[in-house]
Amino acid sequence: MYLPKLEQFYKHKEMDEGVLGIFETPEAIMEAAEKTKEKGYVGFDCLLPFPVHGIDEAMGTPRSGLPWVTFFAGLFGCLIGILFQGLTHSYDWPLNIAGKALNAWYAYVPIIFELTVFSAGIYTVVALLFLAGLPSPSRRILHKDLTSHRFGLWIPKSAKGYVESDVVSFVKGLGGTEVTVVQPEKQK
Amino acid sequence: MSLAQAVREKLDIPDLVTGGKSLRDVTSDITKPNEDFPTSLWWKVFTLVLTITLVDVAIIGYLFYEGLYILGINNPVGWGFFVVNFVFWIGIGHAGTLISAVLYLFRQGWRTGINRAAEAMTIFAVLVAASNLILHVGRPWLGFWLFPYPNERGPLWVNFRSPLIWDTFAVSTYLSISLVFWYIGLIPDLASLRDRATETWRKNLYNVLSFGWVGSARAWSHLEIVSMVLAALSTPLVLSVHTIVSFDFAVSILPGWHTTIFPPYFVAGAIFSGFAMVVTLMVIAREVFNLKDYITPKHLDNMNKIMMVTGLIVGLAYSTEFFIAWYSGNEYEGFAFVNRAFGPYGWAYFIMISCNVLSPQVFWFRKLRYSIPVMFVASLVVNVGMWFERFVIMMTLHRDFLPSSWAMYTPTLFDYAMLIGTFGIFFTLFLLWCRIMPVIAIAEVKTVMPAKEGAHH
Amino acid sequence: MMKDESFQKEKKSHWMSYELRGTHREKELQKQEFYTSPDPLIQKIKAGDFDRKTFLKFMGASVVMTSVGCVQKPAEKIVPYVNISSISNEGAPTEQYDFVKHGHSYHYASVCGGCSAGCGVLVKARDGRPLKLEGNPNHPISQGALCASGQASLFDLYDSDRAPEPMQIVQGKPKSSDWVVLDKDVREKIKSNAGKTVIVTKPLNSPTSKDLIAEFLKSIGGGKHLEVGFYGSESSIAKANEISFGKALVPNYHFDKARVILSIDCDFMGNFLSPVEFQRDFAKRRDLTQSNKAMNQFFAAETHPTMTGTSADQRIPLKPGDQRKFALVVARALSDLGVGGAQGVSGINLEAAIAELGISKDLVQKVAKSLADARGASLVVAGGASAETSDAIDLQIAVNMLNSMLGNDGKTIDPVNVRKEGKIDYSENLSQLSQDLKSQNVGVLFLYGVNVAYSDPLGEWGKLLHQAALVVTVSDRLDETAMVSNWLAPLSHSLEAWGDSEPVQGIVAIQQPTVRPLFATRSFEDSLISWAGGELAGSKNFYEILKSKYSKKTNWEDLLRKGVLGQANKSDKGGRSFRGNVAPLASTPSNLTVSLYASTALGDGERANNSQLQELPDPVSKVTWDNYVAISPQYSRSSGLKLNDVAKVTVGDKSLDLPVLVQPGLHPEAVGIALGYGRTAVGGIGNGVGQNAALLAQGKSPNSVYSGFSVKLESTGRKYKLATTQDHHMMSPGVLMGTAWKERPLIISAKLQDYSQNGKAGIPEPEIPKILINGKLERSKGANPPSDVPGSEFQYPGYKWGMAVDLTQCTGCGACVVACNIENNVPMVGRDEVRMGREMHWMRIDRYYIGDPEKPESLEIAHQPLMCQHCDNAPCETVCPVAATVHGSEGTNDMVYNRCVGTRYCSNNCPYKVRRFNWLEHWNEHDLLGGEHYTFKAQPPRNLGLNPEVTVRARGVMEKCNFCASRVAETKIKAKNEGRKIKDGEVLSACQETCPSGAIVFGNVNDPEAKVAKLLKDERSYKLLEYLNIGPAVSYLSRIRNNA
Repeated sequence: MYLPKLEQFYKHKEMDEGVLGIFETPEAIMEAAEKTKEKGYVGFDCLLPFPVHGIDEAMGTPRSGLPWVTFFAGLFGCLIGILFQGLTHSYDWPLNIAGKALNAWYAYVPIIFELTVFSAGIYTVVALLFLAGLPSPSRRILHKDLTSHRFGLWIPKSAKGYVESDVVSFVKGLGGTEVTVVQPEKQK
Repeated sequence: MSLAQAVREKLDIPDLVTGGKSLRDVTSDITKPNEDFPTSLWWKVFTLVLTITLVDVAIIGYLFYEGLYILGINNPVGWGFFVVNFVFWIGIGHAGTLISAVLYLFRQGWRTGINRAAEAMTIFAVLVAASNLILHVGRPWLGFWLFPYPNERGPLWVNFRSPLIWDTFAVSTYLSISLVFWYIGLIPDLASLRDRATETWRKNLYNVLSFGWVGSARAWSHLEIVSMVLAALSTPLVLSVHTIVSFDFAVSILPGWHTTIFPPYFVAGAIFSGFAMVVTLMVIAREVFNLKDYITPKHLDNMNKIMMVTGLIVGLAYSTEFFIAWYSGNEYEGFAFVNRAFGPYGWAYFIMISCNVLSPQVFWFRKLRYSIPVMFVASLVVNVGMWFERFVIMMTLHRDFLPSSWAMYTPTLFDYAMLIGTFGIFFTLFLLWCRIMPVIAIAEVKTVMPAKEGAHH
Repeated sequence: MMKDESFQKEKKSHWMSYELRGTHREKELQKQEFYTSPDPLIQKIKAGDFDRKTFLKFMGASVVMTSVGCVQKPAEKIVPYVNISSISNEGAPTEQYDFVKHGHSYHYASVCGGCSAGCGVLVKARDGRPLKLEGNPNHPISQGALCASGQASLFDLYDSDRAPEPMQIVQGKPKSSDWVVLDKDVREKIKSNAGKTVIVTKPLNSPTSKDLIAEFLKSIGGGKHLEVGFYGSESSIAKANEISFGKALVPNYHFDKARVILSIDCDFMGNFLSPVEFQRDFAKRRDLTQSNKAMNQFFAAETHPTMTGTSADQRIPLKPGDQRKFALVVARALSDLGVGGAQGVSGINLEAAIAELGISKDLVQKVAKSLADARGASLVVAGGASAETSDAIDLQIAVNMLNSMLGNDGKTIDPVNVRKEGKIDYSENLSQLSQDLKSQNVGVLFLYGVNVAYSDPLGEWGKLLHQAALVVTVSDRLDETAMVSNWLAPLSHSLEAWGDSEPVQGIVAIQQPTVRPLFATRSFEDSLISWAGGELAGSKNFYEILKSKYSKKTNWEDLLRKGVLGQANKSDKGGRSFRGNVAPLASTPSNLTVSLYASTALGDGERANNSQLQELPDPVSKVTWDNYVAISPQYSRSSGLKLNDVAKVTVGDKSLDLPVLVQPGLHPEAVGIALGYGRTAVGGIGNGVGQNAALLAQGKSPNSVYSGFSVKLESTGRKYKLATTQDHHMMSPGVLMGTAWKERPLIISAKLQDYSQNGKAGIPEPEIPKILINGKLERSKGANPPSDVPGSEFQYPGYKWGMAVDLTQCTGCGACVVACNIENNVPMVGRDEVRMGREMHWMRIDRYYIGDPEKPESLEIAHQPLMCQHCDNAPCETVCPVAATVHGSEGTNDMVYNRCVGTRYCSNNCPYKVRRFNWLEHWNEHDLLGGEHYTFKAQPPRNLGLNPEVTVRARGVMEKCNFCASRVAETKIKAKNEGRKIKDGEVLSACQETCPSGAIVFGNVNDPEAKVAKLLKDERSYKLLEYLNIGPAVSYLSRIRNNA
């Protein structure tokens, strides 16, 4: 049986201190991700201009758990739809409308459906924004090409066994063209 | 290699991005229109549509002040151009969702060239449609009464049995879902714009718009999933919305409206008109913004095929209606349809038939499917035809049960002005959007680039 | 109330007298209200000398004085109506109103000023404002009913174009003045031209006024009193009676006694002598629910399809000018059947004459046979403008001959209790006046209620009137005649002035005012009195004259209470014998001939400024706001003139440009044009509506021939869109591109003999879908299923309101429409909006043609009053998004204006299309573009006439018939106060109350004894569009025609 696991709801971690390596092609970053996973730098991340397929496997991140949010939110919306229409017409405000039965449930189906879709969609997006840590316009941009045509490998200071010089050389070894050490922005 | 590439190779589909572009080229090409100063052509078109919009707004003000009597609607024909426009624009909107959602689920790589623009079209079309719905009521300032909101007059709710309430929910749901679907797709592209930006104001603007997206792989995988989820939600949603719109008519007891065929028939019609509109816009966009390498004839060919199929479905619906009308043996039903074709509004009916059923037949020929002028004209013709289809349906009102209450509907200048105005508003929004946001999904295009893309640097 | 102990314990308690604190006295006082007040009046109340009732009496009395009392001092007391039935032993009523309660409406017996028929009415007044007119049930003429123009006459009271004060006209320019100056001027001129005073009045049916005029002329030393009427047939009838029987009179007709009726161009239910009375009598023999199934048979030979003609069993289209020929042909056919007494018809070659008439022989024989079979119980009438041919008198003589041949004289025709007696010759009077004027022989000329300048447009009155020393027009507005006279003496509305009427000898009714004159106006009689020097016949005002006169005969207050005195009870000696003198036949012009007729709504055009009447669709053509030239389909084809073409209508050297209307049922060579239009000085609403067809009238001046002369039509190439509320559709509209569909079972007609065999004749079994109920297929019950059926939440245990409309009785006169408009504040929208199809009438009368337009003889015209059907499963309710229209607990379909957003979905989904949308803010001034409708806003004093019981609807909301919810509520409150249920017939819908033929019945269908419940069970009853299974609460009773 397939049940939601906590690790499926991994969050985007802010990148304030660590090492950033730039790669030129999707293939390169895939390879780099594989290596980094084997090396065991837990909590590393990649910065991609477009979703490179297969990167998740390479990085070893599990499948996102957001569909579960969709499922339960949808269920919730459906329930609201049924109860709201049924209760208003049958109990709160019973009216003789064209002599139709008070609880003419088949007339409620369209709205039940719409509410289901609405709440499913909206809650899912809200959850997405939460997990992706959006919106945060103040977030710092590590490199301007990372949203255009180059790929970044990020190893945070928090990673297990992080030793700056080792990491730098490791990333260089992976074929990172530019490797920079990122220091936290000092508060102005 | 990406799944899209695999599919492409398997089916041996011609490249969706031509001209051997690199990733950098893609970004710069697509964002170019957003960064350059608008071309004179853009200015010309924009001033035109903006003027139309302003005139339209003025007329709306006058409508509020004077009331609906300035329009052509009367006692038997209670719904006129406004409701026609509403159905028309909702239909237009559906194509956007279909392209972005349905084709997404079917992993149709070719959609990437057009889906963003199509989604934008959806949103603007739905906005225009909704505005028509509100404006056509007698007391528009009370339009919010159509929503069941808690109030101190209580208990006071709405009548959930009324198709108009279903409409209210369907349209608002549709609008919000399309909006988020569209925007989460936009976020990464806005981020690219932000990172390319040189002026500070532009940087700040896109920084805010892009929510501070940096492209972390974890965020990407969430986003990918959500896009799929929303696509999966939108597909039934789009069907439901036009089904419900058709209920506005099918649920009534009017001969010619009260037919069970309406839901599928309306949905097919919606896809039909929507794709026509997309073709129209795309043909213009690829000329104006010089995106010929991203919106290739292949894209257009696919859409033309869909247009032809849906056109045939619609034609089938027309004939089925007539058969059933005759088969029912009901004098009112039968007369309604004879009157539809041969009555005072027969001319509209034949415009509809020739535009919707006959014109798409040109797409049987590959040559014509690939010819830009032909498809441009055909798509325009189909748009006209679909507008007339809704007009014909509306005119069913003018002769119903009691001959004593029959009358004609003659639209006034205000009706025509409002019709033109809807196009004005739509294109104004669309052109503005083209300026500030990329018309093509940059990130998604990159996923379907020909093999070895970006290798040369 | 505070308890005694607590009163003492409570430190904080407020107390008033140390002595009384907490004592027994205190408690006593506390029991009474006002116990704290030192007011002596309250002391009296406590003492019981002055209870609340007395107090209210004082208050009520003061209300009477202030609001309901009349203008002259001392206040003239008017007395609310009390139904005779509640008056024991003829006289002292058991219940009396000594005072009038504020906010309550009371009825006052009076006389309708709408036309000269003199119907007795009850005026519903509330807080001193007349709000509605109803027929007085005790009055033998109106018998509780009222016609459209009678209903609408209320609007004239509140007409903003009335003259507010006396006006002096100097070189055609009116300038305001006042009564003092006017009276002074008149008195002087009378003195200086003694003996040469001429008083021209409309035909008066008030004996006291006539006496007063004679009295006046005597007091000023002689003068003339001339009565002048237009478009009527009184003169011809009187003269014909003189020739035929030796005594000039206008007899009374008893349609209720007639089993067979032949009307020759006589719109007796629309515009002839006493329409309401005649329609009521006629309808008595059309009530098939009564045990006596003695249904009358009615042949209408007419030159133009009139409202009366539509209820005929057999219409006979005549060519204008052939009326008399037809009469003689019938006489000949009768004598062939052996009916004696015919004169001067032996020379007629039946075949040839019938061929000339262009009708079939067996039709004539059918008429003759039916008449012969009903000797003594038949009636032949002719009259009205369209019967005023060049040989009008001979036509009347022929009619007299027919009646005496059939022995109707003294049976269906009453020559004893007559309508008018003595020599009546209006056109003679008029020419005499013009002679006197030409010969400078007129001193002061009073014109009262005769608008000569308009009604006789060729008389050049503009020039003539200046020959008189002084011309005083007594009229309620600055009309065409007033503009060419010296003075306008503004006239009070009949609801503002005292008067009496005796339309038929022996039937006297008092015209009781119900409101002070809204403007500085006077009744003609009061004016005479002051012109005579302030006193006449020993009285200072007309009220005193009336009071003293009738106090001699009866108790004045009882008379006011009942409103009517005496009956037409002179027994008939019947000693009249026809003396003959039937002139030989003259030949009618071979080409197209015209008949000018007085339209049902506007009549002689006196009240053309009444939007109610202008917007009331013509019963047959359904055209509003214009007159037109009606041509036959045949002529339309041959001439190429079509609907809305503007044609040049030429008669001799005079011509008019009028829009064309193709009218099925016309004789192929007949043309019809309505009189009463084309007013130029009547007010903002009526000015320039249509053309004055009197311009085409013929005969010696003054013009007296309105029918039967040849006319020429030619197209002007212009177009003019007539504002019709209905297009011309046949009953089976499906014939389209050769595809014919089943005829729609909307109006169900049957022949009498079929009906007498099978009561359900012609009524199809509705195809209501069967549904599965408790395992077996049954006709689905709809909204109100028996309790064992699932979904039976909605029962209507208390009242369940329903309505039945008898299509056999309905004549399509439109009284119900106007009554509904006035009761429910339905706005009039004007020509432009009607053209757009936006008339607001809650109630409409659908007109259908049955048969082949090519055979006008066979063409039938049917009417179907249509109001909201209050369906149990109302389609409109389902689709309203905001539940603004829902079902009431009494089975009515209620409309909640405040909640309505105005989607108009309900109207789209209404199969009857009876819902009306407020396209405009009809009651307020606000309009950027101008447009015609501005005239219909409620500018003062119109707003005073709005019914306070009914909401005035705002722009953008839907409205519709609500089964007179306001009346139901009012009656329910009354019944509740008396601790009982509403009795059947206690609450009448406005349309029902006014309907002269009693075709509409409204009531509680849950009460098995109620009339409506019985009618719903009647065999003839069917529901409109029943197959939709929406369960309408209105039933129609099939239309039976007696044409064997």
